[in-house]
Amino acid sequence: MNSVSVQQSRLFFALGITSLVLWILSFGPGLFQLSSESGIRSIQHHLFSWLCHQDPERTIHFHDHPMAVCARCFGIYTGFFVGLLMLPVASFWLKYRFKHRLALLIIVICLHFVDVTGNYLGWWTNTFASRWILGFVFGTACIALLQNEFFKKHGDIL
Amino acid sequence: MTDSNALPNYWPSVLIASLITGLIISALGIASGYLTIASEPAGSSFNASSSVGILACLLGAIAGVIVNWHYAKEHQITYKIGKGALLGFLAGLFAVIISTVVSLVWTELIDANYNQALYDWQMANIDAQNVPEETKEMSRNFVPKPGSPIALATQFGVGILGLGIMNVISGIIGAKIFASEKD
Repeated sequence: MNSVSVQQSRLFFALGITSLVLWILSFGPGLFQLSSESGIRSIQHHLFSWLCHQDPERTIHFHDHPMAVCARCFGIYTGFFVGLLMLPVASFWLKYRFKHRLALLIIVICLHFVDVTGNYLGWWTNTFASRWILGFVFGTACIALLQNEFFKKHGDIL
Repeated sequence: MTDSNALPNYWPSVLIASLITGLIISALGIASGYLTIASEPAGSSFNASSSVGILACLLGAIAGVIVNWHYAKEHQITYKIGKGALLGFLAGLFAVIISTVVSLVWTELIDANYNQALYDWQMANIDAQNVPEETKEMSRNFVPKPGSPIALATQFGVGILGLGIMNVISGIIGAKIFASEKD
């Protein structure tokens, strides 16, 4: 009978709380209905300014305020957090080796480059939805790499 | 590869990763500053060229990947992802320090007018906002002068928090890719 054992549980919970906080902060001031009429950038925008271009034209607006990160980054943080929540279940049901999960991550990174390049060259115009979905898949693919670090399945691996 | 309790010195890898990341962040930050100065103040709270992620998002998080790649390959070792998280955090921390130092050198020695031009642009941007005068005054009082101790402390603190956290995560992923026993 297959079973799953938990390892490095403290690191897993720390990672879970961190990704939850990042995900909440990425919503920006709109989540807390804070006014941005003063022109002062919110603390959330300051926090992510080292990590994201925050171009308002490429950022989803939440409660009439631009989020603290662009649509692609919001997808990444969402995918990372959701992936982490799904990790215990995924560890039991999915049986892919590390090299397959790494290949998935590399493919997703390549897709991002293709998407950005195609958009830059005018071959197509990516949308909030397409950028968010690609970001979500990237965040999930990052978490998939850590599958067997936290939850070890005792059974067959493909 | 061997997993050893007494791991070799990781500081060279931390310094290499933080130097690469810090220089990239500095270059992008300074370049985006010049783009901001060259643009017309439109009154927006945000400017497409006002942040370091001008070319690619999450570029500041590569320190965690680089440090684990270098450390694992240089010493041909494996270690737990918790160690990778520590290496990522240290690389992110030093990347912020290096970036701040480079920015200081640039704005104090190479282009002394940079900070004043950026500050003037910010003031002009506030003037262009479609808000009451008292709100503009509040904004003017709130905006620290670029290069001032308050601005530097804010930039430094926020950088350590943002890059520190992200490089912990990228450090974990980097350690899994480059330094873990493969399943």
